[in-house]
Amino acid sequence: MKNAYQKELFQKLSEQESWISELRAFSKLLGKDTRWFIFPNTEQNYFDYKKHAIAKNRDAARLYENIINKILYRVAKTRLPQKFLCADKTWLYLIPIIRGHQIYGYTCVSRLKNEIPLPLLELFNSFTCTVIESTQKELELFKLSETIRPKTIALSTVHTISRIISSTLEIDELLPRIARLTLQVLRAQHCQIMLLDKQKKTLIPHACVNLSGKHIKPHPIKPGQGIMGEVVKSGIIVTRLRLMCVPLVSEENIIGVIFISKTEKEQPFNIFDREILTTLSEQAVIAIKNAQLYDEQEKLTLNTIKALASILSSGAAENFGRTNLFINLAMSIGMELKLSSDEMRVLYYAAILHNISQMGLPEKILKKPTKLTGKDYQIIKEQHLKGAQIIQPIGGRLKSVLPIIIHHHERYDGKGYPSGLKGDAIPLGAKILTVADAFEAMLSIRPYRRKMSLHQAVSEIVKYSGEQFDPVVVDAFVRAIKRFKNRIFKGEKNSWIWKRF
Amino acid sequence: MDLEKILSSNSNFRVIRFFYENPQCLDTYKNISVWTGLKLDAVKKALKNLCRHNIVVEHKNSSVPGYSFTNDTRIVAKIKSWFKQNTAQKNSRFKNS
Repeated sequence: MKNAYQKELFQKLSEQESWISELRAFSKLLGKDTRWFIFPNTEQNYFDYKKHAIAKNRDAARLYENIINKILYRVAKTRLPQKFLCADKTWLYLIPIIRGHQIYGYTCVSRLKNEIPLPLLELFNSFTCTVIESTQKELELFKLSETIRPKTIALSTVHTISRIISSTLEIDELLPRIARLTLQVLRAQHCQIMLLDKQKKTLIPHACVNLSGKHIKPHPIKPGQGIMGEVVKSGIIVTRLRLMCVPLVSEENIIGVIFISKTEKEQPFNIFDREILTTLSEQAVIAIKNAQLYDEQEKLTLNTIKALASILSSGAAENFGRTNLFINLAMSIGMELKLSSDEMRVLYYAAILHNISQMGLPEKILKKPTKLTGKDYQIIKEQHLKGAQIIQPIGGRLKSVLPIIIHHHERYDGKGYPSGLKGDAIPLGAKILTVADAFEAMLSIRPYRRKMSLHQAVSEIVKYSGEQFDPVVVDAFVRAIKRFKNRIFKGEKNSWIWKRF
Repeated sequence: MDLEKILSSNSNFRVIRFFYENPQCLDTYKNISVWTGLKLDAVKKALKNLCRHNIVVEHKNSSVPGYSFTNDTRIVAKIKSWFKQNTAQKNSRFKNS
């Protein structure tokens, strides 16, 4: 049994409640002046109170050091308790603590007026062995817990981080989040995430978080340049006292790096930190690839929708310019209503495709110079559903777009078509398109009337709030016109909208 | 920030002690309850309180939020100093846990 472990065991034994109670009970039997102390097995059967005595019993151990050394050899050899009559006519006993074939240590009982009866001695020995066994088990469990606990906590940390990282598919949100979490877990001050642009063959900074207060402006780096460039080129992790840089590897390709550093005042990084950073980087790669795939899928969906819209629409440049106004306005109203990113996306697709319901309408109705008759409206209503159902088989993202397209001719008061839906039964996206559609129409030249001014068109929308239009949407429309007026009417591509949501 | 007052609460003390001993940990309140031996409600309350004092940081962006120790060096230094000065109190509370 190793010395350090022995000492630890006896230290713990001396603090055990059961051991202390045992000694008290025996003291009552042996006399109130009885003194006890224990010590672990010694090298070469020599007792030095400074080295071997348990801290709280050192004074008692010091008094009897010489006596113990006189009888220790015999006790160790015979494995039997030995007694000694001290100068003050009191007895001292040295009792070996034995488990199996091993002497774990000794109990020294002193200041006894009488000798200890043998049965009592045996009872004491037996009880001591039981207490030592349970103490040993407790100590081993404690040591196991000490070893396992930090690793379990680290594993739990990695798992929690993985959940937090996976909760977003937006790459612009994901990378700063990874950087902040990395700083948090590794207690660092600065973290930078760079992704490799294959075409330009450059590392582009995508996230930079700095807690030290210094303003750091990251810049693109060529492979081979600096520490990050070296890591990207070689694929080897670089670890210094207060900085680490790991490659982000996906299917044997390096897609970027994570770089972290600490200030001089902080503790240097250790091998455990390196393992954590490596694990985090692997989690990060999965999240990044997912986000990139999602981004590609969204772009594909959008391009498909745009292609579809362009095939199905009349394609006139004039119409396209107004379409931008319509889309810009619809999205601005959506922003005022604080729609989620997903809802905004669906609204955008619906805005691009909303005229699909006009597909199949005879030109004599589409370009009629006079007001439409009841019969004309009947044809429009019938064709509306047929047109919308063109995109129904496509499914996927367009599933949530379809109700908006179908119901954007409903009225708030229930007098619209095709279903006569009323109030909150009408999808919110449809109500937004209703307002945008009406507003755009009012600003357009029609064969049977002149176009209205902006002020007139806004007043007209507000006038029919609660009848044709949802009042909440009208309020949002008025705010959107005030806030985004220039952007709505510029007729530019609506990339600014994407940046906002 | 009155650290003495904050640490006078057993729940606050045990949560802070846990993060002080495991500063790299980032975990949910359920697991923190396991690590500290506190009941779920007590942990939730303590974490909310400690977030208010910027001793603990909440990471909200998932179905269940994660919590970690502050990175603010001044707060960390204050807590470190408190634990060094109050070793005896720390030991008696260790025994209770």
